[in-house]
Amino acid sequence: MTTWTLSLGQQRIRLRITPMRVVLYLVLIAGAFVAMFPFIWMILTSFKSYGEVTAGRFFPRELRWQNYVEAWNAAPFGRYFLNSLFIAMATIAGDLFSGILAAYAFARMEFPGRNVIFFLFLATLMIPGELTVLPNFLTIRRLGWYNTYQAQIIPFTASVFHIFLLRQFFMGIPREYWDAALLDGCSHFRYLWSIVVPLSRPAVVTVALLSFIGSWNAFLWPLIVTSSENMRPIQVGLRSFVVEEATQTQLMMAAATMVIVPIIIFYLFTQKYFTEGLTMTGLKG
Amino acid sequence: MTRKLVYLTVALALVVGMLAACAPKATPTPEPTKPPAQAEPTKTQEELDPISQLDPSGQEVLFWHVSTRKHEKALMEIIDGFNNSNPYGIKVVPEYAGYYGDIYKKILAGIAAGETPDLAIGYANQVAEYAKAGVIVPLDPFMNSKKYGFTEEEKKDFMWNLLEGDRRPEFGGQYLSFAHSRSMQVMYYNVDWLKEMGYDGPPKTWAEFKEMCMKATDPEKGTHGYAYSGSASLFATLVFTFGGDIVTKDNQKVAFNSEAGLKALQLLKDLFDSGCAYEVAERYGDQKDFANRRALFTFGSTAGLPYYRSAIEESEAGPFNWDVDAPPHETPKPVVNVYGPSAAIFKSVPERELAGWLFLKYWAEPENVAKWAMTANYFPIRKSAIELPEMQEYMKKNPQYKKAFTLLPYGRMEPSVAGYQQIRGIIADMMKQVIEGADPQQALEAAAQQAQEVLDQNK
Repeated sequence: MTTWTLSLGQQRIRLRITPMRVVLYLVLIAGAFVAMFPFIWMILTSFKSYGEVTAGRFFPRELRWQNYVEAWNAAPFGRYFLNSLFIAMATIAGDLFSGILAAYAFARMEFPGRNVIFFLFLATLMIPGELTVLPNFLTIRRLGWYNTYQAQIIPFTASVFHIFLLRQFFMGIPREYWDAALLDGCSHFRYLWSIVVPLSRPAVVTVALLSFIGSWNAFLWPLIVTSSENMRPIQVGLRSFVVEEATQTQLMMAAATMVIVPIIIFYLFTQKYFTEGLTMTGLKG
Repeated sequence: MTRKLVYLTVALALVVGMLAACAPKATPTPEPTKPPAQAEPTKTQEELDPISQLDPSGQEVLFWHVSTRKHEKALMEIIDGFNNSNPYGIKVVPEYAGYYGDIYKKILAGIAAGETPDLAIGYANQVAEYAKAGVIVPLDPFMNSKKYGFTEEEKKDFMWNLLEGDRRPEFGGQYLSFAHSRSMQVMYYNVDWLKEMGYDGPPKTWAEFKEMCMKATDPEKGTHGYAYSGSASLFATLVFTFGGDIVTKDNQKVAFNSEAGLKALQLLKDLFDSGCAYEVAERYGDQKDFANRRALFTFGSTAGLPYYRSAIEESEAGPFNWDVDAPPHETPKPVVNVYGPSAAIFKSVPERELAGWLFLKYWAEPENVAKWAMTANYFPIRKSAIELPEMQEYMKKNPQYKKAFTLLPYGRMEPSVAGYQQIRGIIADMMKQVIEGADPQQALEAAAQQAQEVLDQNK
């Protein structure tokens, strides 16, 4: 058994190397490589020529930075990017607002028919998303929202799955907290925003992230409800690399790399909550 | 307990009610309306044809297209040319509506909402579905209009065999769409490799094809004769080369369950059983293996020529001589499967429909079809376009394109009947089953039966 001491500034980390730990780390490294492989491939491919992509070369002969220039110029990515960002942020805000209120009501408030309504909400999860495209489109048309931001935001500002997720989390918060808050003269609204939401940060962030990913990746719906370039999101731009008889994979990957960077940055800031949100089932009383 | 039960029952009833209420709304198919009236005998109306009396001045035409990047640039040039030069002040407004699958969904949603574009790009079988919803304007009256139509001389200049798919037997043989260019499925082959094996030309019959494939197959080197990438278009090619057809001329009955269809499937099975053909795993994987000298033959669209070229130039196997030709055939003359998208005019007001037609007509001028063809590496649909100096220059630089061009007269079109998209899936499944060992006769009959059901549903 060896013990290594690493000095990182003021901090000292002692690593004890045991055979078990070596195996563990090897497995973890292998797992990390498998998980990262698509990203590595994406980045390497973004520097290749079309011929290198079709020839199946893993490493590019040279780094073709011009792919990035060409990809950026292929579509108004600047505008698309801002559109996507705005739509995603507005969707998250709306989704969280409606989700938190509804989830709280279902988790903590007593009212007649609560479970029936919740059951009905859950039942809508059974309806495939494809089936709602047409009714949603007709609604948007009648409201005169064709080719607007709200057409891309409003339909996604309520998600049953997110309400369900938040409700389960809120239910895990001990009831005693509410009793104590009530004794201090706290209203439902105050209790929700001052106690429940801060305690549920992991769940809230998870919902925000899921909402963001959904919005960022949306393609068909924005394409159907928009007509002009200055309303369209980034995924529509990515589509421009699909041409007949060949997909310009290298350009698509260059654009994908540019598109994915904001998601990665967002994830880096929220990673802690994201993993917590997925692993925690509730507070321990 | 009873209260819970009551709630549950009420909830269930509500859910069922809700789903039932949703169901009709949710079906993305538009309400079936009657197909447009049968073809009017336009010839007899030459004196007084109603189209010639219309005035399209000042119309704005909304045009949904699928083009991006260099294609979009070429299309914009054509649109700008029209907008700036037409004497009626017509303005065509282009809008990108996604790729072929996307634009189709967008239009179906538009049909349901009662708002369609004035002009859109689509495959003829997609147009057939729009036409069933009653939103498509037949083009014959425009084509034959004295004032706005084609002259007799122009009509002789078009290669009408390349527009056969736009003509609809179920709509009285009228043209529901119009195409400006076409591509075709050809056989790509490695000239050097064939020479090394002692052949001085590509195979003319399927027996020769198999013989060459067998010679090129070497498990140790990892080479094969034929890199197979299955699709309904390939099946159509094979059936055509055995003298058969996919559906009957009137688009009413399935026709591939014939001797030709059976021979096509037996050929595939034979090539796979003998080990000289293999299926590529990824999209355009055949292009990749051909470029890397792992496969002697592939079948693909001529629109892929520039991509084959760049893949070969940059491949590890180094550049080699290659060419394209008509597929081997058992028919007296060669036959090639011709395909490609078309443009269709949607119902609005007669003046705007005419404005849309005038744009299509402008696009069909030799300079414009040539420009469009060279951008997409397609073939122009009129003979005079070929004689233009820029086209001649282009052919000089692209010998395989020139070669493929000589095959155009042998072109035949795949069916463009409503429901064909679904039939394509059935055919692809059938091919998959056969190369995996199913009995060709049984697979063929089962697929034909399914395809016939689709045809019947779409009547």
